[in-house]
Amino acid sequence: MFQFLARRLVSSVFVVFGVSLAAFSMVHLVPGDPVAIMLGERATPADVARLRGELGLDEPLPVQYLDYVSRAIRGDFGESIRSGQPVLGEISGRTAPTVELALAAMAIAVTLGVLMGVIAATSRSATADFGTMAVSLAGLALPTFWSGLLLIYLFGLKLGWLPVSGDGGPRALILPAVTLALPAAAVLARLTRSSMLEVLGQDYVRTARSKGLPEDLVVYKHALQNAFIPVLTIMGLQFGALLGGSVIVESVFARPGLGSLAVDAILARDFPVVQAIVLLAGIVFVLVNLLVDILYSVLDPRISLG
Amino acid sequence: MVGAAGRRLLVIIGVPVLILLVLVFAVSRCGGSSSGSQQGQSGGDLVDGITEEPDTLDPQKTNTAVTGTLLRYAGDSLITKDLNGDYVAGLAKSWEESEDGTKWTFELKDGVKFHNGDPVDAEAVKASIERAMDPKTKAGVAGSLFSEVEEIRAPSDKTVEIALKRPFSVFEANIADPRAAIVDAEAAEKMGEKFGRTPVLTGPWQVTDWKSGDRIRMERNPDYSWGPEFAHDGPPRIESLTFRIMTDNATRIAALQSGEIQMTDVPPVNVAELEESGDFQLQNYLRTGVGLFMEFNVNKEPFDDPVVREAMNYAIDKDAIVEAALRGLGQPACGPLPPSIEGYWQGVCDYAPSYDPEKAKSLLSEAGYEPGPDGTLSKDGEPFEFTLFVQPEDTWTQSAQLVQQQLKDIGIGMEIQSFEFGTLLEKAKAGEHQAELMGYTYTNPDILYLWFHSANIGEGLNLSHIDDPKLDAMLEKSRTTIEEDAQEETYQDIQRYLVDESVWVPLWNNEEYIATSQQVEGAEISTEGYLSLIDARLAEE
Amino acid sequence: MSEQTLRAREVPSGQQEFRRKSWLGRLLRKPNALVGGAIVVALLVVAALAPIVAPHSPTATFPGASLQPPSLRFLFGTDELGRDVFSRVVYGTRISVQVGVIAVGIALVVGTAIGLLVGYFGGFVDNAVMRVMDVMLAFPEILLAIAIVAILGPSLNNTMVAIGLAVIPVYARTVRSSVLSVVGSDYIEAAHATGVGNLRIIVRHVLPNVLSPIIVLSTVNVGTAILIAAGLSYVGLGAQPPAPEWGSMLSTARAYLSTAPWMSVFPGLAIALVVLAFNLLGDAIRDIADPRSRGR
Repeated sequence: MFQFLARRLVSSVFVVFGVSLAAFSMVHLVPGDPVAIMLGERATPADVARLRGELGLDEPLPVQYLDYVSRAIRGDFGESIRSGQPVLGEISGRTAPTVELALAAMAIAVTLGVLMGVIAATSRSATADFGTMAVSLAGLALPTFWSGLLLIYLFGLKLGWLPVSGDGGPRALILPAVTLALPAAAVLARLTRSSMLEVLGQDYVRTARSKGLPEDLVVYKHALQNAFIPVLTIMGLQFGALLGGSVIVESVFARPGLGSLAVDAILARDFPVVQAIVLLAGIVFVLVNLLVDILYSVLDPRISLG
Repeated sequence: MVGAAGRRLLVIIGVPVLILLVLVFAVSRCGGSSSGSQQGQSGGDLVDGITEEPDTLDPQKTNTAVTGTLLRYAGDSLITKDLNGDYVAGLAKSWEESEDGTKWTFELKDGVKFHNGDPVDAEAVKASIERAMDPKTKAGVAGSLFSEVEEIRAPSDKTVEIALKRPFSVFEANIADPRAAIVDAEAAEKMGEKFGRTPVLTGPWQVTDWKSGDRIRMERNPDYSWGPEFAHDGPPRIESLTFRIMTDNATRIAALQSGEIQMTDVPPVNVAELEESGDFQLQNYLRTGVGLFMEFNVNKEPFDDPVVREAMNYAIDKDAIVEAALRGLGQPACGPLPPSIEGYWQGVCDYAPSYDPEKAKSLLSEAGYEPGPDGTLSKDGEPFEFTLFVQPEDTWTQSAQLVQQQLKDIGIGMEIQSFEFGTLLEKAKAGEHQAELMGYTYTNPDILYLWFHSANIGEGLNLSHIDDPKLDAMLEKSRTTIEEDAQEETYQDIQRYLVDESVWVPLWNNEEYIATSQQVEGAEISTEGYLSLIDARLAEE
Repeated sequence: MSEQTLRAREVPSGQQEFRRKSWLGRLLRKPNALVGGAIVVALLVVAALAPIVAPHSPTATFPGASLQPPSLRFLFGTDELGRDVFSRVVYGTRISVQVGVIAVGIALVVGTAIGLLVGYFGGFVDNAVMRVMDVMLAFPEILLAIAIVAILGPSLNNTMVAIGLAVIPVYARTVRSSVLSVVGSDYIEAAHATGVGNLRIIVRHVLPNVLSPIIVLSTVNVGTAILIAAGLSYVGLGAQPPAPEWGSMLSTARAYLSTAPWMSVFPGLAIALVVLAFNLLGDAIRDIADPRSRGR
């Protein structure tokens, strides 16, 4: 157990190192002189030279990288080219809406997905099985920029139940979270269904049944618990997918989150902001998956660790 | 077996299709129940949905167009324009131009204060303008507004004198620009970068909060008593303004229909729908600028040949483009200025080429392009093909696709390549393009100098890269000529010359629409392209 | 994702070899496979025969006929520029097939090669390469694709390359873990012992064993690629006008949702059906390849 965690921790550190390297080198990969882009139109050659010095761009690359990392650790990500504001402030203000959105979407996706998966796996009629799966697949098959708009029109305009946009409390969170959750729910539903079917066919479930335990108890106590393990694993990956999905969902619903900031920053070539988001996204992804692995090893005693 | 499989098949395909159809059916034609959720608008808060987030609200540092509009509510310039576009007193109660046009004298109004309570005296005005001119400020547009200023003096507490290097015909217009708003230079110095988020100005509302990516909030300036003469005396009636950043057009219009916002710009496709619903007031103005034009890089083949450029002007059916891309809400453009900018030459549409594909073909033949068996034009074995750079904006790409079809009809192959606006501008400045689509908004005819003078090649807006001494001389003359008739004649000459040179194919001048919910009373459109809210109020609902 | 999780979902080696023969037969008995397969075949046929199926050119504008509702002349109605939506959807199949084949192809070829090599040879290179893959996995695919297209410049070709690059790590990981599961097995050891070369072992013995997971992955990924391409169109970085890419049609059609719903219904339906079909097909193949999930 300890060995396993230690190994995962080491490899996580490696990934974070790689992510920081990726963020750092991005500026050097993009065509064009970043300094000229940062200074804009009215820069004189003297300005360019001065900023190059300030940014340490004349230093050897490893020195630049170490400097970048040490500043990043202190929370200094430089200033946004577009707004001139410190990047840290820009990003921290927009983290909460995205985290909120991703968590809400995750909750909805797990609830919907597991529910549909269980119904499909345990229903006696093939039609109900396929019907449930077909419904969940419909959510997977539509681009969110369109399904989101359909939800806006239906629940925001036609029915008038929910606000259509913005960052104004829990009610405004519902539509974007559902939009974002639909594809993830489909993935989870299919996974739940197949792992339920697998577990339901195994000896200990048959034993439980033959002992005369009520079917509901068998399904929810024994089968679901074990079927949940692969579902949990995939949740880690789906969390990454949700963060990715937020890129589009946030701009559809005019939510001030990291996803919309990322797209704006990429399009405006606002490198300091892009760098910081890249770093943040990478670290969050690593942490979430580390957490999932730990949970996984705790939940499933059958897996030998190390 | 077959029956069961058939049923399953039906379910798997049928259910999603059905869901989709029901959803779409449910949402189409759904203008009806718009009065949905009318939530928590505390007293007098007007919410405006804006299409783009400003870079900064510092009038002197901004480079985004949206900032100019927001500054109409938060800032004041020395002079301003009334709703018809005539100059009226702003922070200066009177102003005077010297005989030779090189010295301007402003008498300031009494009792004007910045949002932080500091008095606006001659020294403050001097400091504000000097800040815009200071290279350290890196003022974008604002720097160019004051580029001809030699020196600023404050001979008395209420008198400001501005000496120019030479007469400057558009100086009055520049002073009235929202980006020439007087800023509290002392506060700017103290606040540093924060000044761009909550600038200290003198306007009827004061910026109090800017939540990045979400909203900008302004609150009523209770001391405001120096409004322009067309407005009522005293502070504005609406307590606060909230500007919500909503880049997705469809969502923004839905938010208007659901009552989440009460005011927004309306894209042409939604105008008819909103008008028919009867729930909104729509006001429009002819944009002060050519909405869209096709501009040639005169240094690159095939458009280095003026005859080819002229042919293009005959090849394009502008009426069809206005009809489709603008849903008819605009007019074909003929020259580099629209009728909504002073100095517009009334005769330009009669003088400029109009749609005539046969004439286009004969001109192209003159330039050496002959049709092959399949109708495609080529010269010395090279087919006539080029790439048009555009930005991914509906009206632009729609217009580009129509141009593409029309050119295809006479045998020209055109590719469309879209770039995000900033990138598009960079590429055109660097001269990487053969031709691009572009549009502008400006307040006065000096825009011609910015677009066509050779000094603006590379860093500036001379994206055609035209470098013509004769044109340069005319443009310089337009700046220094201050006598009105002579000035008008100069601008007319320039417009005729540009039509002759066919640097552009002007495509359309569009009507811009702003919708407000019925709740908003007394909001009036200005010819300058913003909704004046100083006299507006919000009705109780 | 840890190695353990992937290994836990692996097909025990050996069993596959003998089952491969009856693959197609059992696939055809599965309703998902039938439906999915039928739609995919229809897609390919329509793409191949687009000029015959479509009554008009996908780019021809009919002046004065913009925003017409569906009729006999225009089966799916017309768009804002007076183009036939039916013809555009039909020609759009070609783009979708192209996106599916090229984007998934890039990921498949590069990802499989990486996975095979590092999985088979192991050691330091394995560790290093897989950490790079982990770094790439740390970024959401769509964000990675947006960044790549923003650097390369927007075009359909760059879109496909970007999607392909963004999905490589998934393949590399999947293939590698399949490889790891067979590398220690008896028959590979036996092959080694009889002096068979590494390349031959990889091609003859290892590759066949990793085929089924990558077939499943690729099938599902065609749908994902089409969806990412659509998303890029929404951000303004996708296929260039006037290409009838479904995502860009849908993106433009959003403005006309309540006034001309036919503009979005048909491309939306097309995307949904194709993504659905590839997912059903992928599911069916997975069910057959993985004996443990063979529920019914």
